[in-house]
Amino acid sequence: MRSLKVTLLLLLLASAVLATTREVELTLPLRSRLQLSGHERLYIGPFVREVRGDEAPAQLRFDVAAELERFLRKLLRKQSKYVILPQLEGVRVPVSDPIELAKLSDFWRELGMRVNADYVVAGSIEFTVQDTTQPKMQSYESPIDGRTYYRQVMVEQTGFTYDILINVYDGRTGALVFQESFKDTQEREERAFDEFTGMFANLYALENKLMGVFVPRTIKTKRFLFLP
Amino acid sequence: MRLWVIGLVVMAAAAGGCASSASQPSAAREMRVGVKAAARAYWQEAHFRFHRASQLEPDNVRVLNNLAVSLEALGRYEEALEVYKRALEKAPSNATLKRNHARFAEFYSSLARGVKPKELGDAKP
Repeated sequence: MRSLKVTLLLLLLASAVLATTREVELTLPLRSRLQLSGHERLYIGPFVREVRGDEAPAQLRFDVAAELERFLRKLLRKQSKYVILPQLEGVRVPVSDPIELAKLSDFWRELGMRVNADYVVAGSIEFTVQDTTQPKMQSYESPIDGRTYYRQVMVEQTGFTYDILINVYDGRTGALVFQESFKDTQEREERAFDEFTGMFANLYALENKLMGVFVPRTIKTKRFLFLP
Repeated sequence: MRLWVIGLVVMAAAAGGCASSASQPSAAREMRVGVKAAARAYWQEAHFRFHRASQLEPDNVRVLNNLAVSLEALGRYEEALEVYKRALEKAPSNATLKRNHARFAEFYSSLARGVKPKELGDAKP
């Protein structure tokens, strides 16, 4: 009987402590990095594939730049209210150096005027595929004496690195209004893993960050409020 | 007859008391209304109430905590940080306040760095 009373008293005390706060759910607004109204006319592209020094870029079965442009266009159409302008055929950027690219204000202005865009979303990409096969230490239990031994095994894997520099230019003046780079590295435990799948693994990982440039987002989280 | 008179006087006094407590704002009352509004996700109203409560009791840590949370909910992060700091100066060992501030600081610093915060698992565009 006495223990029941003590338990009840403890329960009452616990409920009194819990009753002083209340957990609430917040939906926190996240502003887009680019301060736009959300209804502007955007032209996506051109993106250029960056080349480091005299190195020749890896030969791929697909056009990395074209795939990124297509991916961005699809995402923005689906997740925003921007007017995504149709692609112009045969647009070529005179340089591939990302620093020089940002300085070509005449080129961007001309392109912006031609397609009647408020903003031109362009930039550069560096996509590298590396054979990251390497020896790794692995433990194993011997079936003969039951002891644990360590041995080196060769782990076959492929690494994909995707580095994007997004530049947003004013379509009327050609001035650079926003610049940000995004990088992602993925590894797949297989030698000579499909490059196309690897690239999309990078792109899906960067999707949230890329959209954060153009589209405001919300996140759900919890906080405690004190009760009076 | 006397009993009737006494009864009427007591009722009148009680009614007067209720009327005066209803017309005079109190931090506790504002907090109560604010928490109710927050529970329904009416954050503008909740902020208005918590702000009024903070004007009545500017040193009340509980009020400051609620005010900071409402500022967060409205996306006014810089102000929320200021209020959290003020509250923590007054009560550095308050567990609830510390927990709220830690969660906010994590979110806010990730936002400032431009990387995906941990809580963004359920991010919706």
